[in-house]
Amino acid sequence: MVRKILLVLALLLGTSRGLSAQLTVTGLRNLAFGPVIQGIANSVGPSDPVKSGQFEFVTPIGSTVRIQFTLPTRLNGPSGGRLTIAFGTSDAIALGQGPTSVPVTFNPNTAQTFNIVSSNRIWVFLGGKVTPTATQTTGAYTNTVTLTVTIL
Amino acid sequence: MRHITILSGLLLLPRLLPAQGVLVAPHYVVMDHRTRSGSITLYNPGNDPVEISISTLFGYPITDSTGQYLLYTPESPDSSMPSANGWVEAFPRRMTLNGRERQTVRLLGRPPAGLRDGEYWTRLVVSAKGGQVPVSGISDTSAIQVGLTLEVRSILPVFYRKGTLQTGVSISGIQAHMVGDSLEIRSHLERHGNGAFIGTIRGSLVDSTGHVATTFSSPLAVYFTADPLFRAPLIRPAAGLYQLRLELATERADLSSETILHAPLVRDSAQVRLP
Repeated sequence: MVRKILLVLALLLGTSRGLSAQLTVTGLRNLAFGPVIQGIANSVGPSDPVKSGQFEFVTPIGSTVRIQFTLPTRLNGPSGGRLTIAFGTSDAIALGQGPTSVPVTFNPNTAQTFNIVSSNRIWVFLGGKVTPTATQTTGAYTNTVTLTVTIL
Repeated sequence: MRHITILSGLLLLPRLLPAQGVLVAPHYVVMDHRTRSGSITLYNPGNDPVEISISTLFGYPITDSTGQYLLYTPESPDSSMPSANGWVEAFPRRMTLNGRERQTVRLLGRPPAGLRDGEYWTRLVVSAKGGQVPVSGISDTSAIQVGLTLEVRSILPVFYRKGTLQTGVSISGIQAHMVGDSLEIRSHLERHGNGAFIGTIRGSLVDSTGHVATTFSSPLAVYFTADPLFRAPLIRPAAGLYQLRLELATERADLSSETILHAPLVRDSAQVRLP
């Protein structure tokens, strides 16, 4: 097992010109509202430890990155049903994993640029709000959120 | 009622994904006209398969009116733009990476005949999508269940270099003023030569006695022109006249020396009066 791990590391080191020169973007946790009630809006805050969506990106110290969400305005449900979803101006939080990092709350509808100074591992949390109508068809509603990380 | 309670309990469990994403290395790609080739390595750090697609687009960083960097992506770049889009291609462009699996993607340049010396740019777009994660409680049709799946996209620069290359930068219009507990610095930067100026700006604010009141350092990219905003921490400075000293160097903490086009160090300064 140890040998296998070492081999994977060796392969990575041998082909990536050093582990620091890489960009990793990962979706860690889906944004999940759980069950909602017809006619009652339901919000999930970005600091919700269970329901908020969570991404992680790792990029070298000293780089400049721009992150941008592609967000849906509605979710697709059974029999062509649609459910409105919205993202408010404080529905995203970026948090570096360094000892001096402080959370940055931002509007997920607009792109953000970060200079990576003290922590190369950044978590990004996402909240949102769904507004079912009083006659919303029951069933499962889904869509996709995309996070784009651009090296500038 | 018990059914609802159990369902709620399940829904409260964290929906941790099996890390749907991809590692891309290196994060800056430089190709040379002699070999006309390059490569990147993709690695799936998770345990589950990830579908990956690779495309290219033309774009380069610019600054907006607030001094923030963004990626400018003209839909149809005119012929004066140093675009390598369309003739730098990636192989393969679609793949599925199983958990802990890696794949080398080859980049091949097929430049048009008579390509002039210079640096040409394109961007690689690496999109990763994991398997669909079902909404919890989907079997319960008496409720509304809501969930969003996550996808990720990485965009990184590719430089195709041919022949004799030069870069440099000039700085003008230095301005600085206090905003809250920071000194905000703006200036106009103009690139010279035929390659992007990729480097670092360092600054220091010095009072009349030679005491350094604050310093800052930030990565810098000037593809044509830029008017970036920089911030230096400065809490309750004494009123008076200061000198702001700036230097721009073709060095980057995140890039190897051979990745960067080198240019002589550029220095400039300006008087700053703080109230």
